[in-house]
Amino acid sequence: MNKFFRLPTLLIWLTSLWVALWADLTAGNVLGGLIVALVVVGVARPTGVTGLERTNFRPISALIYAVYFLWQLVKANLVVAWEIITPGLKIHRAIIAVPLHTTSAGVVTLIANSTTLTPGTVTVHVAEKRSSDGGPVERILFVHVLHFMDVESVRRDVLKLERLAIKAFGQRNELPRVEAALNSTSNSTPDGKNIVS
Amino acid sequence: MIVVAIVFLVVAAGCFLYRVLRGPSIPDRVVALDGVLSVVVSGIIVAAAEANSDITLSTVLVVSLVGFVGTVALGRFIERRGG
Amino acid sequence: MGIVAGIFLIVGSLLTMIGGIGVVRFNDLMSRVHAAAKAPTLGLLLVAIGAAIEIGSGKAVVTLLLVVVLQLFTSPVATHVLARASYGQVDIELDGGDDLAQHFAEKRAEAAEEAKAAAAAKLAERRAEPPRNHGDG
Repeated sequence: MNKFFRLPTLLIWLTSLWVALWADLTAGNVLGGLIVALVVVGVARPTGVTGLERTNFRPISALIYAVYFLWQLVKANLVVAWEIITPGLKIHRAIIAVPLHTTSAGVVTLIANSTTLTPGTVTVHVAEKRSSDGGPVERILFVHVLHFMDVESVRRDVLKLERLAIKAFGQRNELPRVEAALNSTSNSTPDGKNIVS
Repeated sequence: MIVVAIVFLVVAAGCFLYRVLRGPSIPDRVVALDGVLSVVVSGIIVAAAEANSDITLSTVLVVSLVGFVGTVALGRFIERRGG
Repeated sequence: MGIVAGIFLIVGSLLTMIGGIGVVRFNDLMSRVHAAAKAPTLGLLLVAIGAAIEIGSGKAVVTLLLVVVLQLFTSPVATHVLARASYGQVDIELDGGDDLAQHFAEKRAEAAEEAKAAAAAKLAERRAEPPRNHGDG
């Protein structure tokens, strides 16, 4: 997000949250919200590190992401509910590392959060790996899988989510790497140890 | 009709409380307590729908946010002290 | 009570109950986390939709929307904090691989390597220093 727009955006966001908490759009509420937002911003003193560096907002792609996420949330619940109400446990658990391709901390947070609510996966840890040649920081997501089949399908699910997240909130020049990783997972070696680019 | 929803919520609360009491580890209890809190939140919303009034809905926000902060605090505690 | 609102409320409560049964039935911490993280979140979403339809006032709709959005953001964070905190402190049953253990082992090896290098550098530094004068000489 552009640095110039950061403070006004934050103020608008905090003020609208305040108005929503009162659930009443009056001049007094807006003014009170603005004062509270200014105090909060002043006290919290933004350090400039917001996690929103290199993020964008594209409304249509964001809507697609939201719909896809809600569909995944329903599917996840059907999977877990079916496992719970049928007798006997047919679970096969594993913790799988999934290398991500985006460089934005905000998008990584979104993906980690969404992964927890999509079928069969819960995020356990996010690791940062600084590449040796001083390139961008690579982040690795560690997900716990309830019905583990193979590494490839887990990675494919997370990468599909990452592709939509980058389209909605990330930088478009990161897309080709995700596409390449997706293509290599869909038709390559089953042990799949070599998709880290 | 609302009775069915309330019965489901009571059973859910019983299940979560069983896990709070049984454990065996602290994280198990914290996960279950989080569940109890989401039952409380759902219960307040169902009661508001039954009464057809929006007065109590503000408490839902407070309860769910306090629950979140509590869970995160307990998580930090477990990380430092061990489960 | 409207039929549609009632169905939303009942299905939402049912999901919360299924989550509770899962927390009782599953036999290790991470499986319970799966049950407790997903089912009550969607359950709350459905209950909120039902109540919003039934009450129908602007204040109720805005407040419930806020509750649902905040829940969707905070519940995975709480789950994540708990899962990471209890990893390595509570026995977790895994049938497949554990990439995280491998990652932590690598990290530990790296840290040990670094500590060793630092100690060696310190030692070399101390050796290079001229011996200090003790006593009155």
